[in-house]
Amino acid sequence: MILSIARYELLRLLRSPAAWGIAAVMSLVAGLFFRAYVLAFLETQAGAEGQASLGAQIVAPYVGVLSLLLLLFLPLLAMASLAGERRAGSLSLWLASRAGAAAIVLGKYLALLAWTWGLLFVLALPALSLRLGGPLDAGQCLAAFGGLALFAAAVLAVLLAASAWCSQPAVAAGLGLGLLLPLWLVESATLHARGLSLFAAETMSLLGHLRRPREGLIDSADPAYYLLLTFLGLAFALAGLAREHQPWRRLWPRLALAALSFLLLLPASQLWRLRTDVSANGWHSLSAGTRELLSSLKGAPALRFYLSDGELRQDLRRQLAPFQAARPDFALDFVEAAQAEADGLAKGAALRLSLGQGVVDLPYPFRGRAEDVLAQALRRLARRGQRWVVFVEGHGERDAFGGLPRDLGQFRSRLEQQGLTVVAQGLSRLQTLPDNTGLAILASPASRLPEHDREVLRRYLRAGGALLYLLDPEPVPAEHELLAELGLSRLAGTILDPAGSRRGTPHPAVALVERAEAHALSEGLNNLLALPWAAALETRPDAGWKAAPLLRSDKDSWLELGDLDHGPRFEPELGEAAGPFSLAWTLERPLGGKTQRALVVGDGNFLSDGALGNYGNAELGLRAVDWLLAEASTPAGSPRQRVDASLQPSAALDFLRDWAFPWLFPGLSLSLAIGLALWRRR
Amino acid sequence: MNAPILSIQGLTHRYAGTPALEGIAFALRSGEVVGLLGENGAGKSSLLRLVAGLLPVQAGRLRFAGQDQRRGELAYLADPPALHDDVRVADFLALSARLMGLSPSAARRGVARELERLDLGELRGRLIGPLSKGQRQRVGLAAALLAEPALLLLDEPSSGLDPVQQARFRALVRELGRERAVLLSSHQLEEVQACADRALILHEGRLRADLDLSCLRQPSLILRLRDAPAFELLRELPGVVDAAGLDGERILLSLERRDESIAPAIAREVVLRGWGLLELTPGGSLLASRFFAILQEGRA
Repeated sequence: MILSIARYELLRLLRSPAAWGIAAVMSLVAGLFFRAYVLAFLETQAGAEGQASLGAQIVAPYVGVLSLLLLLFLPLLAMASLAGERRAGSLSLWLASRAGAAAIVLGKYLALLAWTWGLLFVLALPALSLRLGGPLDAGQCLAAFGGLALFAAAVLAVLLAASAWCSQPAVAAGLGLGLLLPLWLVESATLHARGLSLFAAETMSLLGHLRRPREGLIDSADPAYYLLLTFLGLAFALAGLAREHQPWRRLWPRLALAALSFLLLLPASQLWRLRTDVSANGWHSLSAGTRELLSSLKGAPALRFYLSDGELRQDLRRQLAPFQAARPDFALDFVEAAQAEADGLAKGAALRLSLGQGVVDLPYPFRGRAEDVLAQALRRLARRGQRWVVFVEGHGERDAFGGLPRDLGQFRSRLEQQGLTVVAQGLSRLQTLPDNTGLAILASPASRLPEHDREVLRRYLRAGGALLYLLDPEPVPAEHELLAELGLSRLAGTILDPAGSRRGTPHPAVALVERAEAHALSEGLNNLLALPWAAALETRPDAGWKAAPLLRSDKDSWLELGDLDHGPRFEPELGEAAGPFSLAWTLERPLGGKTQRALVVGDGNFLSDGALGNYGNAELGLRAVDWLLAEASTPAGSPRQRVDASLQPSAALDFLRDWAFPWLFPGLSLSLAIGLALWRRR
Repeated sequence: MNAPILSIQGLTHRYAGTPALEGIAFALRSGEVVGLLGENGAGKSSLLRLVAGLLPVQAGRLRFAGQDQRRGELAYLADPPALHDDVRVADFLALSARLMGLSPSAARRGVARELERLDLGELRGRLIGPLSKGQRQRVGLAAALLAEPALLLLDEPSSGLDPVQQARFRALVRELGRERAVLLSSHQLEEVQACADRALILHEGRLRADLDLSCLRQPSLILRLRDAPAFELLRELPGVVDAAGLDGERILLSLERRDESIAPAIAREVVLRGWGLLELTPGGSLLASRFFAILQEGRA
């Protein structure tokens, strides 16, 4: 009986000009959006550096557009389903038959569903056509369109309920939209809500439950929501029809039971859920290494977000969800941006990750995959308590615990605020640096390092230790040996920077660096840097290190060999070399399955108490320590790649994108609508 | 006498507290065609909709062939017929047959039979929307008859039909009434008189009369006198079998046979007796006379 009704109603829909008109408009809008998404992707894919994804940049937003189209147009399709019958007086045909109200409701519902799913299949073709231009993430596509199919099923059930309680189709469409609108708009409440209200908003959000499927995640909470909403809608549709011939006193207990079941089962389905990632390479899932890291953390990690933008907050909440699933005590809290200054948040950062006493400030959006960034930061934090930052002393170095302007007391203090354990260590009584040394800092030694001490440092380096080596312009005897170990040598003289003095630096020997060179260490660091009395460094080939310049002096700078205090000027005839010069080099080399890191800066002043507050000096110093300590955190193996990272244009794809989807399909639907209307009139 | 197909006792229905039907009670047997008569708002359609199950029974009892539940033994033709304009006649009948619970093969046979019975063969491929009112009525009736129901409920079935169609329709209803019970609501007294065996007269939601129409089909005269005697004296007039008041002034005389010589004989007798003859006209529909008289009593 149900199938007979469904078949009959589907036949009516297929012969309905209005249904084909709706299909024409929907496919037109969808086709135009699809075209725009593809063109945007083609434009940006080259510069996306492996982060491009057909699924993320075309399929997911396209499915989002389809969901909105369904919300807007399905009321027009479903409004007449029962209200139209009531208005035309044909409801008695159904109610006086042997078919019960349930069969009628289900039959009509299945017909609407079949039509809508058929239309969705056609509207899915644009997304599937991307396969012509490159690999597609099949799992994500299936999840996205599967989610959309369930979304449509729930929307139709609600609309059918509205139609069952109204006598005018237009009123039914308005009521249906009125019922769906709060479920649609509650999504915006998730941007700012917290606690229970956030849970309620996320639980009820019609579009929110489509977000995970669009990304290729299957979470039982999402289908459960749509199925429960479908059940509730059909229950109300049934009651709306049954009230025609059944007394209200028999109906309301059933309705109340349906509503109660919905209200009980829905939160339960959100609390106890199963998740699976069907995207290619498990793109949204944590790797085994990250899960292991999370479970091994001592203490609860916490993330504090300093931006007020609701969408960014929601985005971060979503990105953190897998971390919180693996580590439920992983806290996330949001504060206003103004709080950043009081908390001493690093410039350019938007969130602070903390673990125990240690903190790491990170920019947002993340530069790279959220998992990679967070896992790396967590590894660093996890090791901070165990691994020391060792300031070498005994050779006239800048004192990490001193208070003079040339000392590094403030810098040391900043490091300790980040949870690092800082010690000062002489080398004369050691054979090697302590095993838990995470980073050794050799800060401007003023006297020759004895052979024993140099050997200790050599052993440390050969064992893969990280080193921050700060040099001052005055050469120290035997320092070249250590520099040679690092594949570097210094150029004679002090960098003089007329650009600096033009911009108001107190002395031409303060080299200004507009912007650090592009490097992981300096990413997002846009501050000016001031390096007083800096030395120039150059690399030596075949030293085994991969060296990259980090800081360069101005092109007008030169290396002054004469007196700095009495009108220094460039005198090439005296052997003074012209800039620009490299003031700092990052060094990396593979060693024992890891990547060893070192940073040599031809200036120790910039981190001294007298200069730390200038421009971006402190930021550069903290980033340098972060980068150097992170050496062991590089995940083994290459990072995961998107399988759908590229789209090759082709004539077929161009035709489909530019003509078939935006114009041909809608045109055919419209022609059918007009043809059917004329046939009816005839 | 066979058992009732439909038995109604104390049926009452209210719309938002306003009574639409009150204490309705009657029975309907197979082979009977019963007409429902009443003014607009008398409750005819409500009664049919209650019997068809389209309205909830608030009070009273409905029994179908001795059972409380309907088992699909009835079919209901609404006014206007419940049709879908956007489907073809054959498709609509096919669905109707399935809704009646017929198997696919029985549905096909039923559709073919009713298309032929109601002369709808040429229309089977046509959309219902553009059909004439008479054609739509036939389609609706065909749909109602598909399952050969034991009880047929017809709400104003011939309204809007031309005289030829009405005549054909009435013949069809009489034919249908031989094998089943038919409850027919109509504004047309002559239609009820022509088709029905009984007439139920509703007034303001109450059943005012249950008339056996076989006796009302007798020829009659309407008489108005200056000094009217008792009805017993009037029944002694030549050819008169019964006399009854119509509206206080006029008297309805039922005649033993249709005979043109009876009226002059009665006139002569009235004059001779000195009752003062003011009017003597053919009675036409006796049902109409009774109907109006009952309405008058109801209003009084």
